[in-house]
Amino acid sequence: MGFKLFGWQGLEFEIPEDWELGLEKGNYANGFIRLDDPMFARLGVNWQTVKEKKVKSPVEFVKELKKTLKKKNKETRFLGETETKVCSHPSRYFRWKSIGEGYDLFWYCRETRRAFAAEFTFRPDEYSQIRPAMDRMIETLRCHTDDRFRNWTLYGLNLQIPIGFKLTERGIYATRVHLFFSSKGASFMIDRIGFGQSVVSETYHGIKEWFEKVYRRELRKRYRGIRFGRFKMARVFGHDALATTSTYRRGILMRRRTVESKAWVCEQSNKIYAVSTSVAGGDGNVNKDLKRMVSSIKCHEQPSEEAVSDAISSEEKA
Amino acid sequence: MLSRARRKPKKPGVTKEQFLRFVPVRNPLVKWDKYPTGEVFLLVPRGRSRRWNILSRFVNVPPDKKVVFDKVGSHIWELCDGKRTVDDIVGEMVHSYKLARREAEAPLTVHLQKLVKRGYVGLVPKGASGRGDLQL
Repeated sequence: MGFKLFGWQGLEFEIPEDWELGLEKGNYANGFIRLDDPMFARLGVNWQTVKEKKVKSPVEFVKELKKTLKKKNKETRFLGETETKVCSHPSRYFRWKSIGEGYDLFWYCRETRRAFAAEFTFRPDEYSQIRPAMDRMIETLRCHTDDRFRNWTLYGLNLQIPIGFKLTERGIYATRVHLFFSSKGASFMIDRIGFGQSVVSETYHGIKEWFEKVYRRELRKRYRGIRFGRFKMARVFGHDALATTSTYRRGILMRRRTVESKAWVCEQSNKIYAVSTSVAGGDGNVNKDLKRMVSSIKCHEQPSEEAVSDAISSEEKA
Repeated sequence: MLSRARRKPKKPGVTKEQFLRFVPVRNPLVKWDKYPTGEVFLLVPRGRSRRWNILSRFVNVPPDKKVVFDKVGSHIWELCDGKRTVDDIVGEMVHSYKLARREAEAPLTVHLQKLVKRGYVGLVPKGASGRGDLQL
């Protein structure tokens, strides 16, 4: 069984390759994610910000959870309870059995002040498959990190986003992924559209027309009063990209801010990528962070070193 | 009491697992062919309603309705060969269009639902024999 990295709202772990994010709600402080395999929902993780004084111990939490499960279904049986460590935090998990089977796991992360409850579900005949996957996930799970960057993954899209950036807007559609991250003075927006070559060749006449008819509308929604600049050509990950620098104003007395946008079609992955970044003033560190965020997008498998440096420098041609 | 009486009974739902194991079968009454560009068109026979009968006296109404798919829709139509399950078609789409499984599943489900609703395609459980279709 192959594994891949999964990252969402500061939670990172390895999951089987055929698992995908099925549902997500909330934000960094309180939220929920569900991971599904091609057929069933497999793992649900719930988190909540709780003060350390008020948090229940894993033993107490498990006891209460068992009561709740028993109330819901009287036929639920519990098959053992074990202590473990999740990302160096004391944790407790137990196995339950009713119509299906599952494992419930609880831990509290002091560093992020978040209490986590995870539930793995499977059919009795799948125990031998799920158990190793579950062990691997618990082993690799990181609920806090010393790094300045966090991993965010979604349907093959991997991003590295600085800790200060929050996911303020997202749209997860059939063939479109839209994520908007923002911090105090900067923002990063990424759109990835499937069936890229069909969209560019059949629906629109090239990436320029797509940008003008579709992406401009998106930018107008996010950055009010945006004034679009001229198009330039740039190289991003070895692709010819359309680049433009626009400006927008946040308030009447505020200076205009710049929005750098790039859009390209990745033939290898058959997708359109569009990235926009904005930063207030010339904050060098934020600019570096934004460049790293852009360079973390791997539009196709294993971009060469050259391509990554290409993305960072994005040498613009007139 | 009245509102209770009006409440419709819930339709039995189909689980995702069941849906993925269905085999889409083309309606044998629907004729189809391909343009040289690769796009599939369907010729769907029109229902002979009273209105149609009256209208056809005055206007030349073609007996079939033409439905043209785009390239992706054409590909899906060709994959609905009565042998592949929905799951197999999802797999094909993931491979052909380089999509994540979930990205392929959602539009395919919507598209198949439309085809079923319009009667171009039927979903049969795997193992049940689907009748052959007519190709021009």
